[in-house]
Amino acid sequence: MASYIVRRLLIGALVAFGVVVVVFFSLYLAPGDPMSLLIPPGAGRATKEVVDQIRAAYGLDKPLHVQFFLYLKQLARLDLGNSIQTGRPVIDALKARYPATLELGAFSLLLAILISIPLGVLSAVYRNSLPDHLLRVLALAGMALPNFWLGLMLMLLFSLRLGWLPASGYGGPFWTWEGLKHIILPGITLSAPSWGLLVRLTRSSMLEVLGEDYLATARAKGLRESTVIFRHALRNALIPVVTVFGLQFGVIIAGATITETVFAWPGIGRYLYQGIVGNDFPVVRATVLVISIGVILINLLVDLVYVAIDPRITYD
Amino acid sequence: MLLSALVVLGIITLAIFAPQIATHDPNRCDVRHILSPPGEGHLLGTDELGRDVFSRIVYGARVTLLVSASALLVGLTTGVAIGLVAGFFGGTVDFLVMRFVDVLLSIPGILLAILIAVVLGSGLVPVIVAIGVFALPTYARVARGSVLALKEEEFVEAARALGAGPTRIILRHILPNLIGPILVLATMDMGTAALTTAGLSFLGVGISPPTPEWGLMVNTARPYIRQAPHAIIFPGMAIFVTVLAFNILGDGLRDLLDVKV
Repeated sequence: MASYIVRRLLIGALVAFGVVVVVFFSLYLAPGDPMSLLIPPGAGRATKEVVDQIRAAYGLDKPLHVQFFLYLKQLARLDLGNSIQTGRPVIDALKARYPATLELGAFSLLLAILISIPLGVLSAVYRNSLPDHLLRVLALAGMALPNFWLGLMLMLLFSLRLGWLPASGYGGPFWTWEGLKHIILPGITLSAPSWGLLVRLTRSSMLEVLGEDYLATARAKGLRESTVIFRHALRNALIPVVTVFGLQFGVIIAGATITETVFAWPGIGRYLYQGIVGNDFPVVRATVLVISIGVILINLLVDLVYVAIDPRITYD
Repeated sequence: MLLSALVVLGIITLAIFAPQIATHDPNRCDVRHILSPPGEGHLLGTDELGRDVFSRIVYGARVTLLVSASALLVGLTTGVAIGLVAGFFGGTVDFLVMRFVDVLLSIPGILLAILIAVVLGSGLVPVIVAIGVFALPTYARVARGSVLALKEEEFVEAARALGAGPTRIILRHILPNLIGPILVLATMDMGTAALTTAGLSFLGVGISPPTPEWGLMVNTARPYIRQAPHAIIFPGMAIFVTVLAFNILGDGLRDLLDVKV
């Protein structure tokens, strides 16, 4: 197990380094001079001196390998550059915003778990019946919904028409009443694309377990059907599902940009959007890097937890 | 599945015959009818600039299909080429190429697409390239996996014994066996590509106004959600129906042809 953990950590580090390389070189994909991405959009036609000054400030006047080395040194100091729009360090903005994104992500994952496990169990227990078919259709529909549109539709119905929930913003931690009211709609929007996959997965995992002999034994002992399903079957069926839930957390965090934009949620996804509309390339580059590294870390953690939960798993 | 195939056919028809089907010029602004509700004169109402929503949706089918199909073509050809080379030659080439693919896979698709499209600037081509790169790793992996299995087959050995070189073996003997699974995968990916195209334009990346693109239509009508929800509801439904139809068709084709992808 120890050798697996070491190997997994090494692979994680290698992939993270690869992401840094891709993100660094993305600047050079720009057609023409990469400087076009770093000059403030409002600056009009910058004079050659100004362009040279900015070039020197970003180290773009140096050879490519030196630039890359400088970039790594910067990253090691947690320096992600400054925003073109505000002139302030991007890292400070990210630090201020990531708790909101994590909170929204955690709430969405919780919603996904609370919704998809019971539905998956229902689908498996009533296999090939009307509820099962209905859930299959709903799962397919969930995966086809553009989540920015779903968010707007929820906002239209529950905020603007019925007035039950606030349309946007952050209302405090979700365990407070005001916070909960603010997080419900973005939470549903962000987690909905995962429901279909998770319901289908819980269903197939349950179906596999439902055929096992020990369930027949449990029934033969005279246990109630609900005890058989929830105490005996579900607990075993959940092992493979737990990993996917973990991996979905990464997917959820990555998808936060659109949801945070729709609901003006003050997280890093919305910061990325502000970077996009403000032509603020340092912000876009740094945010993509930070979210990607975050997702790699989450996946690494899920893999390690999985070994702890189920030591039977061997990795090659 | 039959229904989804019909819907897909319907969307393709909309795209091809857009000029005949659309009731108005999709970019003509009618200042007297700004944000009009659906009804007489404008089947699905008008948007914030008085443009006909129905006609924009019809023309939007063109943009969505063009961008999604071209992006998949880019991702598919590059991905398959990379996978074929990596799988066939193995060794260091395989290791390096597949680690690069791993890195691409580890960056969340939508973020990778955002980064590429922002760097390349606005227009259809940046979006096509961005979604193409997003799709590439899957095709590379599928192609590589198939090559690893196929290159041990007797017909490949026979071709080699007859003196065929690597290029001929890859193109004439291995590639034809890949076409089925790859096409099924591409149909399944059309939905994701359409969804990503819409998501990117919603965020203001790539496709820019006044192009009639569904995600962009939702985005520009967003401030008027209270007065004119129709300008958001209908383009969103167009995305939903298109993605759903492609997803069901892809799933159906996979089951029908018994392809494992």
